[in-house]
Amino acid sequence: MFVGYIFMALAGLFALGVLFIIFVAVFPVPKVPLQYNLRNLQVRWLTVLITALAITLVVALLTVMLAFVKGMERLTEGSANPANIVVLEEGSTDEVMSKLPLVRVADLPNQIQEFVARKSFPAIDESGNKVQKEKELVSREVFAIVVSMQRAPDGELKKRFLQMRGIEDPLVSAEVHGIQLLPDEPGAEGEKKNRWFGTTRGKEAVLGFGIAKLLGKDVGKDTLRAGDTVRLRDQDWTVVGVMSPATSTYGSEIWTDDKVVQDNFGREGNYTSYTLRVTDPKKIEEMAKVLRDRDQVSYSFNAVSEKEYFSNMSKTNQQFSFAIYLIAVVMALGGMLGVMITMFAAVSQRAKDIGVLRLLGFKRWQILCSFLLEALILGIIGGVLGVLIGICFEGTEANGLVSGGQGGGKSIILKLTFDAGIIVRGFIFAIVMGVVGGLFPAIAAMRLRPLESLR
Amino acid sequence: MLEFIGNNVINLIALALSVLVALAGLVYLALRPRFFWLAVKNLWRNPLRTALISFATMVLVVVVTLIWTIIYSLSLSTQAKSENLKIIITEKYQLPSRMPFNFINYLDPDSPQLLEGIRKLNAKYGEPIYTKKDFMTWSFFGGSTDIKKKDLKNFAFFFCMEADSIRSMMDDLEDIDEDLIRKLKENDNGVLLGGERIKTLKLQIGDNFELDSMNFKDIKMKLKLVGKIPDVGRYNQAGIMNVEYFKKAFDKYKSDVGKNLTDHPDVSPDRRLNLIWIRVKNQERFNELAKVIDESGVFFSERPIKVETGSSAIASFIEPYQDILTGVKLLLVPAILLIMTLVVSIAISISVRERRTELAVMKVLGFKPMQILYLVMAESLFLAVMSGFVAGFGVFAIVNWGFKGVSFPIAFFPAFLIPSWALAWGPAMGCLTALMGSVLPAWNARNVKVSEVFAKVA
Repeated sequence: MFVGYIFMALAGLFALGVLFIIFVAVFPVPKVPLQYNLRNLQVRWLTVLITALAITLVVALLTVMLAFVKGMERLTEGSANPANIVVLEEGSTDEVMSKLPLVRVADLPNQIQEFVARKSFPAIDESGNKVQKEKELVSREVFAIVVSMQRAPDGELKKRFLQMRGIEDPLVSAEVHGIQLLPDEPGAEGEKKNRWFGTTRGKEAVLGFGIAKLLGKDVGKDTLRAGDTVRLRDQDWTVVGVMSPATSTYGSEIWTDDKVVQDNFGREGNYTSYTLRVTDPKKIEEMAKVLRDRDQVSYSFNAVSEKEYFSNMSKTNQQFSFAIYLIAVVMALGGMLGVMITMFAAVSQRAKDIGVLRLLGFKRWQILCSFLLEALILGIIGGVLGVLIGICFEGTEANGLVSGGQGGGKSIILKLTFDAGIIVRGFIFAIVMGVVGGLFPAIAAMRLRPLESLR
Repeated sequence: MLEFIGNNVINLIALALSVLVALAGLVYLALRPRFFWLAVKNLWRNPLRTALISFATMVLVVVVTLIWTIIYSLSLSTQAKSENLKIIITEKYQLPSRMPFNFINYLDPDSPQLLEGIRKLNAKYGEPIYTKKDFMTWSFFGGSTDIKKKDLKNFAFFFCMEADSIRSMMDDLEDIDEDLIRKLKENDNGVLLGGERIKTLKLQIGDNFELDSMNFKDIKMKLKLVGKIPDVGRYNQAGIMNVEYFKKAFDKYKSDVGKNLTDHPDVSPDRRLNLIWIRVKNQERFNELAKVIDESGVFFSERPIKVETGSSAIASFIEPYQDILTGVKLLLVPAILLIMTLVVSIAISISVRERRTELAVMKVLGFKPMQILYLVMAESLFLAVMSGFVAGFGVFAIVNWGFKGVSFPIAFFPAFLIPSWALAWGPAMGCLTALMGSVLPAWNARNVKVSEVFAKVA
C-alpha cells in the first residue's frame, strides 16, 4: 500500500514535469529557442534516428503484446452475459474437472425456478404442426477435450486437442450464450446450408468460427463450411453449420448433441455444467447463493455469475500482462540507456553552447528544460513510429489459452485488438524513455559552469 | 552425434562464437599487445559511457537469457529422439486420459498377461525390448488440505507411481537420493513434495496431513511428508505418492461408505490410471511396439488407447502456446538484440565522431586504416563480450541457485532451470551485437581523411 502511494506520487510528479516541459515549449515564456533543439537534432540526424529506432522497437513490441492480451480479454469478457449463472460441480472451478450426474441437472431447485428466464422457440407438435413452445433458458452442457487426428493433403497426420461442447437443446444454448449461425453463402443449398445439428445421435457438429478456420487450414482450405467433415474418434463428423464470428471463447469450440459427447467421450450420464439465464440480473448473486447452499438445495453446486466465471478465467491474462510489462520495462531500460548515451554526448559536444547560453542570461532551469525537451522529442518520434508499426498488426489472428490457473483452461483463437488505452500506454512508455533517459544528461548540462565550459 | 548437432544448432553457434571471439582476443593480445591494451584503455576515457553500454548489454542479455531458457526448454522436450525413446500410452480420444488399472497387466514386462506380440518382439531381438526399469505408470491425484476452501494455496498434486520407477524413468530425477526412495517405500502413506509446494503448504519433513481429493470426489487421504523432491525446476510444485496407497484409498472408501464403485461417476475403477510410460532403445523398436499395441485393440476396447513418443505428446499439449512462442522467438528476441545493437551503435558512433582528430593523428603516425578499424571493433567487442559473459553467468547462478529456476507456469512446466548453454549465450549475444553495432562506425573511423580533419582544425 505504502509502496503504491510512493509510486503514484512519483508518477504524478513525473507527469507534472512532462506537462511543464510541454508548457514551456508551447507557450511564449522565456526559454532557449526551440529552433536550437530542432537544429541540433537535424545536424546529428543519424544518431537521433538510431536512438528513436530503439524507442520505436520497444513501443511497437509493447503495443503488439498488449494487443494480444486485449484480444484475450475481449474474448473472456465477450463470453459473459450479465444475466447468466454458470453452475459447476461443488469444488470445481473449471468445466474440464466438473461432473454433474443427470439427476442433479434435470430439475432446477424450486427456490430459483420462478426467476429463470423463458422464451418461445419454434417446435413441432404431436400432430406435426409448427408451433411456438416456451422453454426455460437453461443450457445443459457436457464439455470435453477430445483428440482429433486429421490427415492433411500432404499426408501428414495432424493431431489437435479440440474443445467439444455437447448441448441438450441447440436453440436454447444459442440463446443463452448469444450464438448465431453464419448466414448462408449465396446459392447454398441442401448440405451447404448452415443449420443446427439434430438430436438423433448422429455425428453432426456446428463449429465455432475460429476453429472452422483452424481445422480448414489442416486440410488445405481457408475454412471448413457446412457439408465438410471433421475426423473425430476415427469417424467423419459432418459439419452442419458454422457460428458467426463473435468475441467469445465459444468461437474456438465444436458444438454437438449432448448424448453424442456423453457416449463417445467417456462422460456417460454426466453433464459438466449448466448455464441459466435469470429474469433479473440483480438477482444473480442471490440465485447463485441458493445453488451453493447445502441447506437450501438437495445437491449443492459451485454457482457463480458468468461474469465472475470468465473473470476468473482471465488469470492467464494477468500472468501475461505481468510478463509483458516486465519485459517491456527491461527493454525500455535498454532504450533509455540509448537516449542517455546520445544526450550525454550532445551535452559534452555542446558544452560551449551551454556556456554561451548561460552568459546570455538563460537560467539553469531553462537549460534543463531545453535538453529535456530534446529528449522528449526523441521519445515522441519513437513513440509515434512504434505505435504506427504496432497498429499494423491489428486484427492478426493468433492462438492462445485462457485459464483460471487451477488446471483446465480453454484454448482460444483470438484477434490482436488495439484500443485507445494501448496507444496511450505506448506513448507513455516512449515519453518516459525519452524524459528519464534525458534527465541525467540535462542535469549535467544544467550544472555546467559558464566560464569553465567556455575554456 | 548428428541428432545432438541438429538439436543444438543455435547453442553450438553461440559456443563457437564465444570460443572464437575469446581466441581472437587472446591472439590479438599475443600478436599486438599494445593495440589490445590501447583498446582497453580507450574504454576508460569515458567511464560513464562505458558503464552505460555495459549496463544496457547486461540488462538485455539477462532478459533474452530468461526468455530463451523457456523457449529452449520447451523445444527440447518436443524434439524427437532416435535413441532411448520414451513412449507414452494414453486414452485415445480424450483429455484427461483415464484408463483402467488392468491395462497395466498387458504391458508390464513382468506380467504373465503381457501381450503376445510383445513376447514375440522380445524373442525376435533376443532380449526384452523393455524391462521393468523402462516401465512406469502414473495416476494423478490432486487435493486440498482445506475441505472448505479449495484453492491454489492449499492444493497439492501427486504423481501416484511405484517408487522404484523414480530413478529410472522420471526426467531429471536420475540422481535422486536413494534414501528418499527408501523412505517412500517404507512408509505406505509417505509422499515426496517439491520445495515450493512444501513452503506453500507450510509443511515440514515428517509432518502428517490430510488431503481431500479434487479429481476423485469423496476420496480422502492421510499422508506423511517423508522428503523433498530435489530442486530440478519441473517438480517444484508437484509430489510423488505410492501407487499402492492410492489404490488402497479407494478400497477404504468402498469399505467405509459401502458403495459399489462402478456406480460412482468419479471413483469407478476403470478411470484411475492416467498414463503409461515405456522406454525403448530406438525408433525401430518404437514403431514395432506401437504396431503391436495398435493391433491389440481387443485388450483395450474398454477405453481405446494411443501410443506416441513423449516428445510428440508434449508437442500436442503445448500447441495452444505455439503462436505465442513463435512470436517471442521470431519477433521479441530479435527485437531485443536489435535494441542492443542500436545502443552499441549509438555509443561507438559518438565515440568515433569525438575522436576524429585523434584518429587522424594516429594515421599520420603510421597506423594503417585496417588497424584503426580493428581497434574500434576491439573496443566494442571487448566491452560487450565481457558484459555478456558476466550477465550470462550472473543470471545462471542467481536464477538456478537462488530462485531454483525461472518460474513461469506454462502447460505443465512450473519452472525452468537455465541450461549450461546459457554461459555461451551471453558472450555470443554480446559478440553479435557488438559486431553489428560497431562495424559501420569502425568503417567510418577507418575512412577518416587526415587532410579533411586537419583542414577543419586549421
